[in-house]
Amino acid sequence: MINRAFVELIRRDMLMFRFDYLKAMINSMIWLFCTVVVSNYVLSAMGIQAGFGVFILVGSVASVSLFRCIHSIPGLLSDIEGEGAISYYLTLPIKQAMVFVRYAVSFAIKAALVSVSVLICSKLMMWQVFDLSSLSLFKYLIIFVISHSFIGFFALLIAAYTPNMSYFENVWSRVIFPMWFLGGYQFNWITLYQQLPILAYLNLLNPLTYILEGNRVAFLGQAGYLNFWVCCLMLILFNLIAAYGGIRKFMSRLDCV
Amino acid sequence: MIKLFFQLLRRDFLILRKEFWANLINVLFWLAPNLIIFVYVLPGMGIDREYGIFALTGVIASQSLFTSISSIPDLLNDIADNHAIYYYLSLPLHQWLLFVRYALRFAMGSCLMSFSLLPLSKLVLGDIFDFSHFSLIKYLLIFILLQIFCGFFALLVTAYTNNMVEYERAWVRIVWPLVCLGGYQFPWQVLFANLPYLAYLNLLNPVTYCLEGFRVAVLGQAGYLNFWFCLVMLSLCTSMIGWWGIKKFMHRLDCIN
Repeated sequence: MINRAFVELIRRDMLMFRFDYLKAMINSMIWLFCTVVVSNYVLSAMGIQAGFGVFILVGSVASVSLFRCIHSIPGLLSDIEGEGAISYYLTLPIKQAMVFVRYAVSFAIKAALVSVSVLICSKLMMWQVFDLSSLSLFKYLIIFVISHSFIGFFALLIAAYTPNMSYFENVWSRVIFPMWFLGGYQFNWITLYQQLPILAYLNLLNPLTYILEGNRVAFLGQAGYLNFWVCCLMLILFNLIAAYGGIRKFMSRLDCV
Repeated sequence: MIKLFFQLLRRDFLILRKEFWANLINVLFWLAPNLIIFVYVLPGMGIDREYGIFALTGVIASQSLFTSISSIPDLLNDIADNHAIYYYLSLPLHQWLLFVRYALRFAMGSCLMSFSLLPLSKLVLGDIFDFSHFSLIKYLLIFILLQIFCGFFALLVTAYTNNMVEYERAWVRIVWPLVCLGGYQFPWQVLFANLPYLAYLNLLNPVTYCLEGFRVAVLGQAGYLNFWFCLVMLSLCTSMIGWWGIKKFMHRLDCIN
């Protein structure tokens, strides 16, 4: 039931976000710029394969969305612990599950807005480094929508299972960072498979691997990465799991009817 | 007065001890992916096998800074809500000493987390982690100075941070660029060979001296900035940052001496 109230809530979230948008983009650009300078100009001199800068850049653009969504979790947690605005939203004339879907969608749209801006700025600032000759716009649009949808519901799932703010740091250190770093931020899955095959197979259970690999296929071409359509299918599957798990856990946690 | 100062530090230590295991698990969840990726996976991307150990020492050294910075929210919450700091300011103690105590508390926290990382990495990696150039005296000197620097640096960041939003901004805009461009993944000499202007600019970055000094102590002098130069510069930076942080805090909290 996507009714007017749902759309209005999303619209309200976006209106609120416009005040933070520029700051979020600047933060993301600073993080990305430092990382790419080191990867492209310094690590290349230490023997790493050519094109590592672009490889990291694409991974960083995808990671910006993840971090943006995860960054939204404390706001939701502090609302549940303190102000309790979520209790008001649960009284609105929409299905209670849709209140949680709204959070995921808002997280995803905010992340998507920052990600697109960062992508454009990266291209403008690092024109020579960021070669888009292998970009498949069609594939990028597909993976962009699927990965942002997943990331939104993933953040919802994490929020649902995080009891309070003080526990959030543990979730960050023990769940998000290992998933992201081992998921292929600095390497492709095939390299991991050649070096540590057992970990590589285990990594096929990590949805962030498919986000990073899928994005790299869209930007850099299929060679050397997991099949693009497998990435899409797996992400849709993980999307459904995260959405179901997150909404169900939240409904149980907040005693929804 | 000195007795009271040490009583406060003892109290801080007892509190930190309670959080030790939870924090250590977080640190290990952070160290393990770094260890796996740098030592076993990145060589598959063309980089030297020795690079893994080089990067790992950077990871261990920067852990102190990350732990100190992650302690800032507690002090921020206290200033905003609990106001325990005002009680401490009313104790018969020079008010500036109270801020030194906070810096030492940050340093103790990072020390507790960091001291085990090097022996633990050696245990896990065995012969891969070559200790033939390890100097215990240099290691102890740089390790202690590194913790004190991190404590005072965290104090300075706290002094200029009013809330969690600003804390996050400081993390992305100040801490991360200092670490990333300060040589987290490369030695200063490689930066100098590739981007000399940035390398000269980096001599103003205290994190460079932390990382270079730490690497000299563990991996030997060859290929790094002179150890004693690092030590002097780091002492100088610690004194300046300590003075600056205390002054700013005293101004912020309207202290009288």
